[in-house]
Amino acid sequence: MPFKRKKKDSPEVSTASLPDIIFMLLFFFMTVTVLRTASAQVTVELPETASAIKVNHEASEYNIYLGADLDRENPKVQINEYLVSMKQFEEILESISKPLMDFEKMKVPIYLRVDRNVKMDIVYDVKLLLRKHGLRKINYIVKNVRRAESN
Amino acid sequence: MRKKRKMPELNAGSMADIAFLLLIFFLVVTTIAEDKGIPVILPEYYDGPPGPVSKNNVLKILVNADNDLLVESKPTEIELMKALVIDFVNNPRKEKDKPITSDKAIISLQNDVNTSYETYVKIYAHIHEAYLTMRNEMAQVQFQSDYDQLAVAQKNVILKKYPMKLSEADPFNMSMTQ
Repeated sequence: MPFKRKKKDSPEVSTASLPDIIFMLLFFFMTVTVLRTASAQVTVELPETASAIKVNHEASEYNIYLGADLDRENPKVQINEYLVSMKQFEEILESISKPLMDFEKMKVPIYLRVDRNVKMDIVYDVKLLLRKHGLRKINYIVKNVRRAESN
Repeated sequence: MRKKRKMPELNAGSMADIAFLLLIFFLVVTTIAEDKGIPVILPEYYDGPPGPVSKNNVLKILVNADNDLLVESKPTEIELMKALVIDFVNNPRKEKDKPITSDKAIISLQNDVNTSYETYVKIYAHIHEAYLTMRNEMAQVQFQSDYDQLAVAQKNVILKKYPMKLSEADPFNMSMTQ
């Protein structure tokens, strides 16, 4: 016979491990769905507005969290990953702003993630400290909702 | 007798299909949390006495501990804020108790220590929207385009006419009596 009948070759690459790879990828996506470096250590329910715009995240940003269960006498502020008292918060702001020139301070993005039920006195104190240290570029993070009426 | 080692029969091909399906499902369903916010540049820190202002240039907004609104001593709802601000700043009927030109308008916001942050942000958002609307209208009339599409020089012309001057006072320490 001129042609050798080709035996049915078993595939050289074993495909049995392919599902394992896929499962690994799957679990990766299931766990890594929130792409945030520092997560809130306090409960924050954001207020809703209709006119918020998308935030472009930059490298050296600071996220300030004011949680729902804030103690009025000794409020705890979370800045990035540090949950601190007001005094320590001011020290942290000082350390952030000290090495910077005024125009550089104006460029540091500060994101305020404040729970909707927090009272204004604490928020006002935080804003006053930010102003004192020249960190004036802030952003009130909110939940965007579509408003019924137009204009 | 040598026991024949029976290879376990498992068709791995369909397992891969199931895995792919699950993967695609999660890829589609997962949303990357997108932040939305209202950008603000805080005014400079200033500890001195307030400068002189004419009473007709200032729109007084008072908010009490129950998140009730008082605009120029008249109770209002948050939803009406935007229209009130536009009417005040533009002063279409040339009233004496409103600013003569829109660039002189100052919005003064006084909260109570117990006003909720949600109310504050909503009020701020409405005032901000009022100014965006007025700036957009001027952009359409003067440059036939939306405010966002304009060049910096043109935007500055509009900003000179509609600068958002918001004066926030220290929060009150007592609830407001009507």
